[in-house]
Amino acid sequence: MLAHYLTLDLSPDASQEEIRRRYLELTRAHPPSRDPDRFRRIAAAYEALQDDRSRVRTAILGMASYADWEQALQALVEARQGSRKTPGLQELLAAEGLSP
Amino acid sequence: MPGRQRGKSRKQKKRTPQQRSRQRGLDPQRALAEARRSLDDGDPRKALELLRRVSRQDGAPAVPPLWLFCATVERARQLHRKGSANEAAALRNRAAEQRVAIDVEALSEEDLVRYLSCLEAGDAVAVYAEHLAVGPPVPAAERAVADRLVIDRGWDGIEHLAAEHPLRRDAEPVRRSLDAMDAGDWEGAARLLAGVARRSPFAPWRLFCKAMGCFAAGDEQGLRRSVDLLPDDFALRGTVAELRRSATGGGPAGPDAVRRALGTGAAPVAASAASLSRAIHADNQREVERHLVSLADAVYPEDPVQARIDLLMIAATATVQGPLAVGSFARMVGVVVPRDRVYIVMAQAAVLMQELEAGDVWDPSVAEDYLYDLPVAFPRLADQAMARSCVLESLARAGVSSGIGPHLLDPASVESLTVLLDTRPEDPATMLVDLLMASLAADPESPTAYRLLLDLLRRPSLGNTGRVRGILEELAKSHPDDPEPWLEMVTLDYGRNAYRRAETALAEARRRAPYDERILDLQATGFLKSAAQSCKRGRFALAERDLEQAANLRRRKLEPILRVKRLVLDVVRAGRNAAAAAVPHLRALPPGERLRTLAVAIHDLAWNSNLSNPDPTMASALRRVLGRDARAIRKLEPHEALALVADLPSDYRVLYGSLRIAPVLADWWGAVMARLDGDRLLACFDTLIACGGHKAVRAELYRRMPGDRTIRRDSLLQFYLAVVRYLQGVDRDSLLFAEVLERAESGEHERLRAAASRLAQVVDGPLRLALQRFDFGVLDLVLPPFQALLDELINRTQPHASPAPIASPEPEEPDEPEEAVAPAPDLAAALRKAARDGRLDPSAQGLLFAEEATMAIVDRLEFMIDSAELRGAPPEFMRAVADVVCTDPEIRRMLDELADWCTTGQREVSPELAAMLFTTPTGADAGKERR
Repeated sequence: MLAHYLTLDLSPDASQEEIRRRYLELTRAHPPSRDPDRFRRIAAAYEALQDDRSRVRTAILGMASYADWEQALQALVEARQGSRKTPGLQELLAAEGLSP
Repeated sequence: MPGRQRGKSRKQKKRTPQQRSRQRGLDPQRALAEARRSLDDGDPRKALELLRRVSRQDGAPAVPPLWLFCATVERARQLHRKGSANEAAALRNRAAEQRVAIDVEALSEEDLVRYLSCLEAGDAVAVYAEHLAVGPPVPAAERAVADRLVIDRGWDGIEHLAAEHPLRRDAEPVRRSLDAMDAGDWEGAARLLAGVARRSPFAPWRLFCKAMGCFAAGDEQGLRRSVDLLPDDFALRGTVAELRRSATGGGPAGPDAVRRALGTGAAPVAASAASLSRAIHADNQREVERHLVSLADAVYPEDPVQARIDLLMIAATATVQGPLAVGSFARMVGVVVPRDRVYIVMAQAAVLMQELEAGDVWDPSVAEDYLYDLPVAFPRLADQAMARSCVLESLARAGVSSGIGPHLLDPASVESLTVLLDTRPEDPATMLVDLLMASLAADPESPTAYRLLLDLLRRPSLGNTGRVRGILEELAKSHPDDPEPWLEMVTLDYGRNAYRRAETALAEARRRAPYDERILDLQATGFLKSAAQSCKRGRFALAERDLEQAANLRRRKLEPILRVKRLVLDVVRAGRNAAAAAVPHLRALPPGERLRTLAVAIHDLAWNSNLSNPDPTMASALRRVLGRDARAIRKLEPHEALALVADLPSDYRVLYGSLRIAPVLADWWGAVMARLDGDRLLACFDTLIACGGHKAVRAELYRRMPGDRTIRRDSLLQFYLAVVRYLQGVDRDSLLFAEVLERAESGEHERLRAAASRLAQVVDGPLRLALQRFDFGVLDLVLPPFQALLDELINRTQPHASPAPIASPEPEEPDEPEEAVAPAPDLAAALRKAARDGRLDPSAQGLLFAEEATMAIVDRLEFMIDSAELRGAPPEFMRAVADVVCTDPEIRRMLDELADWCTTGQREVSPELAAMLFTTPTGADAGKERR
């Protein structure tokens, strides 16, 4: 289930320790009080990958956890969009070649 | 000639003769036009070179100083970005010299904008202020100045403008928002710019902040709206282009550096996903393939194959849920997945589909296929074990959901099970348990397999209680801290009247969970069970002592049943004066509780009547009392009326094989329903439908929906009507359901779905599947095979004088014995054989051995129904089958005797067999309506 890895911004061969560390980082960066949707997605992704058993189960039957296929597709899109960056103005000006 | 080439640059050396001649012969006008184009396209180096060449040509028109200036400034900026600071500085100096020649007043609006864009912020403001002194305002020029102010942050010259000028007026909020913009807090920046007017030169920056905020939040619609409003000449046009492409899926991409900064990747994910969704809905295989591949590339360019497999699993889900055909899916896998992964992807999709379908198909070969290629999916051995456990558990879960019966297994499934379990399943009744045991053997710590196994072991239909107890003991060993297996053993042992073992198990459970209330409940239930046994054997003092001990445990929820047990004890002790003995127990009770107590007491007597002590006259006496008091139903409160027919709590399953009380009150169902409304009425319908009370429910529905049928009515009641009409065999297709769903308003669909989900738990066969899926098309697929079977049966039974066609099936092929048996003649012949072998002896009724013999016949009949593939057939159809086979007097007698046995003992049989035994579908409780 790529969506969960994308939500955590990890590759599917990430170790258990990496998953845990990233989860803690992301939950600190997106606390439920400020970003409840994102937090919920991060928590769900971690729950699906939190140990080897969960990872295997998610790999085989993870799709069954969604209400329907459209929700699964939406989750994948959201997970990918979660990796959209929000650069600052200076970064954008530099990317456009407009830095003063 | 090496000497001549030495002084030339490398680039000059590379030029072809054609290029050189083309440059030499360049027309000055065309060269100027091309220079301008190059400047517009962001190639100042080329523009500068062209302009220089034109200026060197004799007789060529003068090069506009603005162009030269702009090209020089742009090139200087380019070199500065590349890190060539010296060259950039030299060009700046040259630009400063060129600037002197520019006559600002003579510039067109377009050239003024270009000029301002090439100036530093302070200079731009000063130049524009000069322009304003002699000319009208130019909005595009003001925007260019605003862009320079934001980019250069040079606010010093702003005083050159009048105080009320928008550039000066809005400068302050823009300055304040820059920190937020730099920090990437675009929403915050947009909030700070909220006061910037729509016509202000800074308005594009407000819109841009808003667009970036939407981009960060994934608000595609908002993003699209914002970028559509941004002017084409906005400074960050590359970013805007990428944002637009991200939101709409079309248009040119932004520069690579911008894409990297925004993290937008190769293609817009949302737009690609929308296209894939549309293609799936249209079941357009080629389009699905195309969009799936492009979306996979966009979603995870690092490993697109992995992304494709994930998207294929989504497509597999779509095949189960409707839009995509399974054939399309299978072809697609072959196209989009590398050859070495095709098999495992197909196998995984099949496992997923079975998990999702849960109730439709059950095919062990699916799990077998997946496990065969497991190392491809999971190279690590530890992962393989867990995957094996997961797949076996999924198979068992699908078996539970689909209600797979031991006799529904075809030889291929048995072979697959043999492979999965490493041994041929000896007892088909426990094959799901075997699968879960195998799952736990692969992964002993699997919590889900463990819980599912415990749930399965709770089912009374499991049979072989010795084996069940053995498994529970194993589970207790493997999970030493968990009281659950011990609690199950207690229930099992009480059910088998093994009181000493139950006490031991109870002590073990108590040791693990000393404060678990269920332990006390079970203990009290055990005393009640023991009291019933003593009562049946005539040891009334012992029974009384057990009841006393149960009462001493003060289990509040057991009080009603304790009252019933006391009443039954006195009734049995009183013998012929049963009615009089019951009165003291009922006197102080309110009407609702009195009726309920009587109903449960009659139920109790029926379940405990297989030994000689309680006799049918006692139940009859209580029935008379019930009949006398039943008038009170009309005065009951709705909640009391519903409680009257409700099933007994599951805690009592140790005491009774059936927890349904409603059949005892069959004569008063109409009165009960008349007291109810809303959700209570629906709950009552559910209970009665579970008891086979379709006729009563249908009558009540018609009573509540009188008048013209075309009048719009309560869609929920109509839905229930559709269900009972199907169950009664009046309608055997999906038409009525489709009509109800069509008429229902969109808000009602959720309520209908909830009702379907409830009803799915109380009906069987295709209707159950249709209700589970909330898709009634499946009902249309079921009837034709059954109808064909009935026609065949009728045809075969016609020449009844000659029993050969029914009694003697077609000779079987010696090589293929399992495939040669036609179901219809087999059923009739088998029924006749059962009638001859197991004829009931009326004198033996009430004795234990007669009970066992009758149970054996019932088992055989159930087996025959499975073998003839009649499981799930509509009741009306089963009655038609019974009508046909009852032309044989022996079969008819057997069915009549079984109907008697069910009526007197309140036994429950499957809905299909009940339909054959009784002319109305009220099951074993409706003896008065039997054949």
